[in-house]
Amino acid sequence: MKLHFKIFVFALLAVTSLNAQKKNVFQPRPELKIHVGYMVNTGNNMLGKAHEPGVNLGFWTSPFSVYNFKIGFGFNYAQFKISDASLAGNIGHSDLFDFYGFVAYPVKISEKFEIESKAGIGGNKLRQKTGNNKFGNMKGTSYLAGVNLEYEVAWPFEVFAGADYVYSRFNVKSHPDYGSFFKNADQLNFFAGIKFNMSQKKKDASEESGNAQD
Amino acid sequence: MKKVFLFVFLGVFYSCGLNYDGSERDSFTGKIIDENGYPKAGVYVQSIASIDGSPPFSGGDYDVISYDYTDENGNFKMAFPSPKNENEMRLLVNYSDKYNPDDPAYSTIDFYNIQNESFINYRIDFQEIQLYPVENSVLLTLVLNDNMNGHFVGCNLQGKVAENHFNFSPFYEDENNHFYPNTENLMAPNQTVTVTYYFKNWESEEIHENSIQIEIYNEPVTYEITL
Repeated sequence: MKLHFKIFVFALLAVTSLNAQKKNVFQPRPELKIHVGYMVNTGNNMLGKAHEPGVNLGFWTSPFSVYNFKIGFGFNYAQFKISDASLAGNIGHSDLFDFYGFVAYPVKISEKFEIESKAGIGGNKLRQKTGNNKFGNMKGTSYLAGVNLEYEVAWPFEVFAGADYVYSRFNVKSHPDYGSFFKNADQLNFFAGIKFNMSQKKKDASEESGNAQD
Repeated sequence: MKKVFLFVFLGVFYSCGLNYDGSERDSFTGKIIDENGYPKAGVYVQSIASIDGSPPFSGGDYDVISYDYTDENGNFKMAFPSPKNENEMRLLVNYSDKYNPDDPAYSTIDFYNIQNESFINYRIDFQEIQLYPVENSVLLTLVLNDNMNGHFVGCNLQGKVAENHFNFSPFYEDENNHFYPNTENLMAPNQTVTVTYYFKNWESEEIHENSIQIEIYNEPVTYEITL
């Protein structure tokens, strides 16, 4: 996970430094998104076979964009009740913490609507608990890809909804018969939330052209 | 001084209980068969981790860390995070809790004193475990006589035993390795039971084992073993 994160940060810095001098390539574009979601665990793995779907909370933020690609980071917390003690242990629930960096590309489809695709990579931790009793952690790397639709309610607020696919790879040791059962996780997250734009609103194209004629 | 006491108290309290490593998943597997050798479905099995002491202050703890019911082929499979500071693990077959049978009509087996050394690649395969109806059981009484050659540590029984407590690591040298007495055992009639007994020489303190076979018919049996 550390290597992936270093590569991501290096690529981010390289792109930023190479292009920072060019006009309109690097743009401050601070925004914050807060969401709630419903995460479904799928596939033949411990999360998919031994956990119920769960609610999650999170945020992601991007301080700037490069070539219109938003770059930022996010955090997500989800909790899943354990449904099969023979596979996951006789434990109450599993908490999943996910911290990731991402690149997103927005496309305006009308005055109020925008669609945005996103890809990211990060580190995660699955913690198992019953009440205050802890049953250890599984740590790994997560990869996500998703899309969301945004609607501008009133500047600077927007609402959005979308879905992410998250693949996780945990560092777990187990008997070879289990194969990658404990190592992999496939999840679909359906979410909705509020976006807060922290930059000044861009002027309309017509206003900009009018100003140019003046 | 109060702060010192507080830190000591919190330290003791924090260190109580079992600790687990979630990045290692241990597992128990096996198959339950009935008295005729056919797969027995729906048998309740539990894997247990425990640490000695009386909770909460002296660190005692006990977790049913996983459980399963056998499938139509009699198979069970349990995976769980690996305990790190346990004194022992156990596999309970046909127990509803630590002491009582889940199906009283059938025998129970308690594999106790399971130690880390018994796991191969994070798994123990118990293979076939046989249960039998306990209705017509007869009593086998074992009399174990110490003498100047040595003293008994304990014994394991292999056969159709109504409530079988089986020490999984009889040679494990630890002050907490206590054998169940197993001196009075109800068991199925008309069978040959293998008794493996463990003893120590008075001087060497090394554990040795020996086995005998006892024929069980329809009457209670008292069998005396002298070292």
